[in-house]
Amino acid sequence: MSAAAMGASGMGVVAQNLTYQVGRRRILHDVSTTFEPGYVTGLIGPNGAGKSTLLRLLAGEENPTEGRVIWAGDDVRTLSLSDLATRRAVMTQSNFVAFDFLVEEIIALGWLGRAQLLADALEEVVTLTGVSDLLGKKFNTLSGGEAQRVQFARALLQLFPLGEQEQEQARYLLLDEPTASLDVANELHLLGLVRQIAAHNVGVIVVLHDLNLAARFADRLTLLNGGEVVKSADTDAVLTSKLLSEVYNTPLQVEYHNALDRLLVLS
Amino acid sequence: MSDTPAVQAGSPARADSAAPAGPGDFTPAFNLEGRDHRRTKVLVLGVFAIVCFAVGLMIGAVPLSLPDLLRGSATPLEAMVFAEIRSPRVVLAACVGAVLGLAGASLQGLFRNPLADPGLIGVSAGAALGAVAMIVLGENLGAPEYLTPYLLPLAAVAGALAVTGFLYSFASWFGRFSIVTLLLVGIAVNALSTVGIGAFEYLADDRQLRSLVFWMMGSFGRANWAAAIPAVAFMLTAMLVLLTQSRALDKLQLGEADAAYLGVDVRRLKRLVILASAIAVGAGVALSGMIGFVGLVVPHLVRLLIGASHRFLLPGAALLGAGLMISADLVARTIIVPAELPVSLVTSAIGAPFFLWLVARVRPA
Repeated sequence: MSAAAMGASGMGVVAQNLTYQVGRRRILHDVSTTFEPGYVTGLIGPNGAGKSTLLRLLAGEENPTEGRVIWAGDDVRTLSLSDLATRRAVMTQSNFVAFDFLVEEIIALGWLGRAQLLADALEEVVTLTGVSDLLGKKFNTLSGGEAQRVQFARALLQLFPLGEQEQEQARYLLLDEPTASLDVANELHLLGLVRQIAAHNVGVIVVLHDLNLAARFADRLTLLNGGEVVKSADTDAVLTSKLLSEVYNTPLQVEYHNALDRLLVLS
Repeated sequence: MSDTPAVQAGSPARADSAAPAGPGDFTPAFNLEGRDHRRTKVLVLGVFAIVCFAVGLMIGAVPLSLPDLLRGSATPLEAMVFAEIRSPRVVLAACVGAVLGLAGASLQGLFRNPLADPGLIGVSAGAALGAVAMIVLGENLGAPEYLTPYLLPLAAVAGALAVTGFLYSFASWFGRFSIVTLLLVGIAVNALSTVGIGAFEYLADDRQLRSLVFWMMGSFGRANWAAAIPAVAFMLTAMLVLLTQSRALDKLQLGEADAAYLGVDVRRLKRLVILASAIAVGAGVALSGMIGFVGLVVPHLVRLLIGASHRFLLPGAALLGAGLMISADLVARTIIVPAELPVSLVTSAIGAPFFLWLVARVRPA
């Protein structure tokens, strides 16, 4: 199904002419794009391009100065917090927890379903994300990378159980630089999981800094610069030497690697 | 490659090859066994509170035997001491202890700060200022007699509410309070309240002054049913409200934005916790004066015993607070019979060193 067709059928998350201002500073300007279930969409762009702000507006945490965010046909402002919580999970970059919560207690905070079903879902998520060795530890003693993996597990639990079939209500996973503190093995594992989850008709919107990770794991990319969408299209179409060099204001070379069967971004 | 994303997404091969810790090494050691543990520990604290309650009723200047009282074989004096002096005192001590423990735990959860004690951050002082204002100025209000027992708690609640609301709006304006900032603001609020109380002392006549001195000390020595019942009703209501917020407080520990993503109405949560804590602490202070450190020590002990989850911390703090306050009052009224110590002396003697230890341990970052 083409992007336009899905958007028109009322599915997906639609950003409609979003402008966001703080005082006189314009952080986003007239941003329009669509995110669909089943796809991994990367938000890329230089520092200060407005990636995290766009993610917050999509999540419904803040309202745009102008424009609308539409979730499967509903304006996000008309949805209650608890309704939204069943439609999407968000992983932010905040990791501060003041008290000695255990890792499993933190993960379990993501569970919105019935208490009796928590144990099974928790076990599944812990296995999937490979954080079983962290169980029983205090969350605030973890390293930055470990904390990030636990937060990812927590966000994932919010979407569980993942349906095998396409559900009536598609769900979304919004990630703000989920691999910022991870080593390369964990980085690949987490983004690999993200792809598996997308296969369960979950729409993934992920802010990424590493363009090679974007090339490897994203189906589509939205390239932002100075608060405006430069290009929003399939990954291959966005990752071009000319476009990236221009936007990042530094010479960048995009090459296709035969053996790896993907694009490489070289600086 | 991007033309067929669904096919790619459906193939987990890429993910698994990169997995640092594959499935299968999951140990089910934690599978809800820990949860049961926590519940059991709350029950143990409940038993502790009940034992303290029974012991508190029996021991005192006039020793009482609960079996005798139940059988009706107690002397009329013993029955009178039990019904009119001992019972209201122990009930009040239990309620105030529970309220301080629970409000301390809730405020610490709300501020995400382990040192947010109602006494340290000035909530109790605000309540005392409200109560003192009512003692000195209340007679000029010309309120009907039957309202008098309610006026004192109401004034104290108003004072506590003013301080808590101010602290929270100040904290929001500031970004999250660091531990040090919160304590410094608490010092300022406490100092301001002391100024206000001092001014009212100056205005007070001799009879009012004697009442005021009682506020400074903190004691259950004047407990009686007529004064206790309205305040206990306030306290129980507020405690029930706080107990219902435990899951939301747990989620709030991830941060306000993350809590909202999990469906928590953070503004409503803040209002409820601030209002309920202020009502609980205000009503407690109205009857017993300022009793320090309970709201600090009790939640911390419960966290060490049961863990940080508010679902168990909140009831645990209420129960341990009740038990410890009855015990502290027991010490206060029996250690130098026939005179008695202010209970706040006992709680501070234990609480202040604990506070020092806590400050050294949390090392404000």
